[in-house]
Amino acid sequence: MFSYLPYRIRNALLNYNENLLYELRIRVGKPIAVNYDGKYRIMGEHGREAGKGLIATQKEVEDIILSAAEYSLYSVTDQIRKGFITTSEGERIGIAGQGVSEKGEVLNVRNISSVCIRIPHQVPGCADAIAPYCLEPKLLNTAILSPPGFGKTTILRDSARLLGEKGEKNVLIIDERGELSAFDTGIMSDIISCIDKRTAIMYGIRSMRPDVLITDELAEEDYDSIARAKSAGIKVMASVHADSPKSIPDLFERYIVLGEKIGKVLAVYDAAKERLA
Amino acid sequence: MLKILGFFLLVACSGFLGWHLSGKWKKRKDFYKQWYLFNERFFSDLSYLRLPLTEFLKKYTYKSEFSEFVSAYEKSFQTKTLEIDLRFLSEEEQNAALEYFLALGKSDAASQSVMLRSYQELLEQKKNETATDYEKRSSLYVKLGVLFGLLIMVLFV
Repeated sequence: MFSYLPYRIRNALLNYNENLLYELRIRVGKPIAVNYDGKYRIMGEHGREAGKGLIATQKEVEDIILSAAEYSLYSVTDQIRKGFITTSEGERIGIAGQGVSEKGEVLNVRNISSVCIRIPHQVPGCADAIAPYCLEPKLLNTAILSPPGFGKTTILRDSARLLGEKGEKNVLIIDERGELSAFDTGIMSDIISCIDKRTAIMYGIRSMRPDVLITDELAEEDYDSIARAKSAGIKVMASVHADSPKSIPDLFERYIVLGEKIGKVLAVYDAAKERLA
Repeated sequence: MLKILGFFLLVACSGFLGWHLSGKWKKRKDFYKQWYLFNERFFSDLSYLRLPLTEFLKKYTYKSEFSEFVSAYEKSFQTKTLEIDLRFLSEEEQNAALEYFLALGKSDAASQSVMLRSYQELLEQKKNETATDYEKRSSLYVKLGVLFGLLIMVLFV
């Protein structure tokens, strides 16, 4: 992990417990910030230091992008156009910079001024928190909702593992950003990654004959594909950036809202969006 | 009898020395042949698999000085410096090689393809040129070596 980071940043990170690291924000000319145990802190040369932190340079940010792309920007152009790169370890690096567009289409991002590195975690058993509402005794079409950073992807990943444990259900994971499959997703999972959800769902349903479809970060343009999967008799589990089921179409039998702290279930709603718990 | 054997050995050694002296031209021939192959393979990969450079470089093995050059290039990803020893190439040729490799991976697939395609003809030309050069010179150097050996033989007989 972090092999793409400059030496001094990698060195400073050695002072942190990796299991409590959730995010790294590197901004050109500004102190590096780290989300450690749910709180943002300024990162110093020796880790958690008060006062002036490590200031990132433009060269360091550029090197991070090139290194994270395994020195091959041509292999991640599509990702960069969407504003991120996913590393081989499953870390998603969000990119902020100057867009280069033509006829309304983003060609590239240049003068990258900051990166946001989201660090994935495997938390075996974290899906137990939602299992009674949607996995057992019966698998229900489920949407997991929360703002960014509350563990939706981690729970979905563990759900895939749980579902596959008994060896009864084929789980198809549509991993558009390469994050879901960063860790063990169980013995019964098939993964289609780095393809847009619409195409991946269409091709996955036809070729992989899944019982369950799991995908991350649904957007408005994805709902048609989800409806199609459901009409094919496939159960769907997905995450959405939302804090309430009101903003989501009536596609699911359970809406599970996370919040307050990572992985905590705040509320559960049924298909009619009536609160159950 | 021993004398004759000695003289044959002398002529053979000087012929071999001649061949050895043509080593620079052999290195040039091999280097451009391998570089041409690299360019073709990379162009093909870019059109289809688009493997990251770190994987692509491991996928194929190369020969002679080009293989060492590729290893040094691979190491430069970590060390950030590229140290090369291409004395058998002219300064202009060395700069062209550095320019090519330092441009790899720095742009999108379309731009990278354009670059590789622009090098195809150039590298094929160089490959053929250096092969012809080597053929001419190695033959000449071997002949000169044998002649030299014969001259020594004549002088000392």
